[in-house]
Amino acid sequence: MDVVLQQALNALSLGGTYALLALGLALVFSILGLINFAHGELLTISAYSVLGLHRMGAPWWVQALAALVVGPLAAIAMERVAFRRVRSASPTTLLLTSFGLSIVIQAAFLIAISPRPQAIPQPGWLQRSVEVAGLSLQAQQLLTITVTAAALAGLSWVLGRTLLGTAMRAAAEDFDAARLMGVRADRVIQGAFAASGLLAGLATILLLARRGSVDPHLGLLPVLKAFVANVIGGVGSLPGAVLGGLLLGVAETAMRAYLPQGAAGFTDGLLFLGVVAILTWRPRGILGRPEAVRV
Amino acid sequence: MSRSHLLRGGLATAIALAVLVVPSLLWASTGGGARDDLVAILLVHALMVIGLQVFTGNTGVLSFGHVALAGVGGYTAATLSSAALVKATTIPDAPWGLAEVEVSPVVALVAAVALSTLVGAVTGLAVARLNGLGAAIVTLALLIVVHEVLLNAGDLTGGAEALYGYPPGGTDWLILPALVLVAIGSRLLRGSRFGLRLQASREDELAAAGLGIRTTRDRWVAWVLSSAVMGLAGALLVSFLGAINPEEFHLGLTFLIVAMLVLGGQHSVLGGLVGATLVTFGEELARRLGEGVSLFGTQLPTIRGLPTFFLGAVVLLVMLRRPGGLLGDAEADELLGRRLRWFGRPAVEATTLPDQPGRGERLLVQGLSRRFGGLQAVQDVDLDVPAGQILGLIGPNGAGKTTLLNLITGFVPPTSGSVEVGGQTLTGRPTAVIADAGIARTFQNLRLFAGLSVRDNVMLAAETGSRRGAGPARAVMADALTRFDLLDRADAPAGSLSYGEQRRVEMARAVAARPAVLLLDEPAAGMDAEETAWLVEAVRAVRDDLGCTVVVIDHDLALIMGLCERIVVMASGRVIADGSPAQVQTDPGVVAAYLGEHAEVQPLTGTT
Repeated sequence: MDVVLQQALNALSLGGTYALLALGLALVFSILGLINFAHGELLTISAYSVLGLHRMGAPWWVQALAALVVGPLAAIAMERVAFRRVRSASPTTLLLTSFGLSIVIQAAFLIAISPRPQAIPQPGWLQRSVEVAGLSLQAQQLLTITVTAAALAGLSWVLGRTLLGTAMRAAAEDFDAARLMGVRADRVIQGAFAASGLLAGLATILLLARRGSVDPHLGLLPVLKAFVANVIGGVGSLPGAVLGGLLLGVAETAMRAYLPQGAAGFTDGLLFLGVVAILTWRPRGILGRPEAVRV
Repeated sequence: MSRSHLLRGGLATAIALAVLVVPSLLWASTGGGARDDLVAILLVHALMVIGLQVFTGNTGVLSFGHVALAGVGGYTAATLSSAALVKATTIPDAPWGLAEVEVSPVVALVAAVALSTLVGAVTGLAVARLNGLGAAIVTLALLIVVHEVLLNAGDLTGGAEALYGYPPGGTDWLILPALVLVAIGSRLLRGSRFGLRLQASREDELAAAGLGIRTTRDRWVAWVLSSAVMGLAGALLVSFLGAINPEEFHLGLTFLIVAMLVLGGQHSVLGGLVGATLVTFGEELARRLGEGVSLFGTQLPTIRGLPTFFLGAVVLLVMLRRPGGLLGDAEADELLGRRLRWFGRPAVEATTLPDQPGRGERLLVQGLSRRFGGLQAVQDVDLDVPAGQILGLIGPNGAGKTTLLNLITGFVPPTSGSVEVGGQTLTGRPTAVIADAGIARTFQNLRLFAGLSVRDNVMLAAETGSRRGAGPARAVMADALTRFDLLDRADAPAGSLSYGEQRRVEMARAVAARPAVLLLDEPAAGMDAEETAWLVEAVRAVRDDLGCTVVVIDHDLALIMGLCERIVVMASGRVIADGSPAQVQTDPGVVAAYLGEHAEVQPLTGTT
């Protein structure tokens, strides 16, 4: 029983990070219809700015704060430089724009810094184990779970209770109608990008606490997982993104714990096969609504 | 597209290929092995781009997984043909005695194509059902799964180690002929009726279903065809490289192929060839620059990652500046046709096919209802339209008229009730099946295949009309364009037409299918009195010549009174009146629904 509970906590902390990223993707998608491949590069950019501060000798909390500032700024910059110009283009154009942007940023870090991982030592207390009710929890896991829960609560407060949040939800329902009602498009879109950048900044802190290094491809795998989370949960659905992220965390943890030795190399493969199975069963994801037919 | 015109397309593609390849070959022949290699790799890449284009270009569904299919082909060829002596050290424990097998490269190539086609046939079952992000993720999943299998099934593939020992240059002589054949084939496919169907569902999946097009099935076929091309390209890549490892078939090659596809133009075969050429040379240039050349006596530093940066920048810049790519949709024959008339598309000539009265069927709707959440959009509607009648369906906004049409055509499944055409029950069947049963419709808010020409829009429906015995499809298309006065717009992209013209294309498309029941949703919206009068005559002529049953929804009472023999009035989801125009005009219930309870009755008069 304890083992199961322990694994459940592991799953929750892993899935929490995915949920943060998936939520950022879903926020932008629901308003712009953009599947942002370059979302992972928000992680990379934040992580390199953390690296810069670490090399200047800044303490951990300053580094963390920097990730929270750089994430939103980078997201807003992406919108200004690239996505604003293709705002009304086809979904394929949007997807390819973000794909190109993602490759350019990765290659730029590879050229400017190094292809090799750069270490960012994490404070010792993050790795320390805490005993809670007979369960051994690493501080970084506890941090992940708390931060995720707080971020979810904060986001639902912003979306539900503030004017900007209401405008964002309205824009997600029907962007054109929201504009006609006087919602300012640029502000809502930048709000969505800033929020997705902030979530990515949070995820960066949590990710670095686990792996303690940064390389140009840092964002690639997490963003792929976040895509998967979105697709499982239902593209564009915010609760779906959280659900998908958590499910993914559970699936990965379970496979790591229970797959036989010989099959360990196939974890990602099995994961993706599971996604294909879910999509074949429900092409719009678990919480995805069927597209409204307007004819 | 006529057969001779298709041949011209193929010929023009061959000419374009020659223009691109011959200078490259000449250039290669003067500069030794490195140049030879670059040209060979260019040709293999071009083959892969066209393979990707067969699916992505025609269907509009982006795939990140095609390189995996090339990997399947490449590894099949390598495992079958590599020298047994080498395999004894690289994959000694291969199952099925593969370590001892040493088949000829051509046989291995055939096996490679067969296996990748098979993998395509299975994976296509999932891919063909999806769009957008779903398709992107599933195809990416294919890439990752295949890569993991290649890495981890070491007994069979040699794992992360290179699998070498392929007979050097075994099938190199096949690279050029394969490219020529595939490029021409792909051009022919694009202009073929199958290609048109794929492009129609790329442009508007719902309208395509309304013409009876089975999108999922067609996409599956396109995916399988493109899998075969990728398997071929993978096997040829191995022949050229002599050794492979799993990294050859992963994200790097995927980026490269996508950049090539995007740069030239996703839809056009010529674009694919141009993109492959430019990106191959551009990437090579970036690689050399990155390796640190000396320029005017200064040694430049080495820059790793420059080729990748180049690829990303190409994709990003094309998307920001020219999302259609350098060539857009243009094919070689279209470009040549501007200079040499022989390559141009012959104009559509005015055609009038003989009348075929009596193709109309009775439309019988019984107890049809549909609820959307708390809203009863259509409630218990009975409608019996005899064959050949023109029925007008009117009512205030929100009365449920368009929903009724959507229920009849299967766009929205009914909550209860039944729909019959000519005695055949169609309730709850998919839209494409209902279209095949002889129902055609137009859309209130225009749903044309905007990127396709007017004639191709109508041609898609004319095929169905032709199957229903109206004559050759081309003649049916020409007849429909003639009826709706669109002959001089035949080659314009439908999306570029004026609103009124687009309405006429919608009707020409519906009529070309030679339906038994024709449903027109607000055909006169946005038309002035003169155009409306013309429309009344055109619709009546369709009914008189073809005998089809017609249901017209419109708010323009001049049109309804002038055209319809019977009028049904709906309000709040129910039928509130049903009778001749004269009866309906004086019906107190109708007047109340339109004007309120206490309005005075003043008979309306039609203009025709």
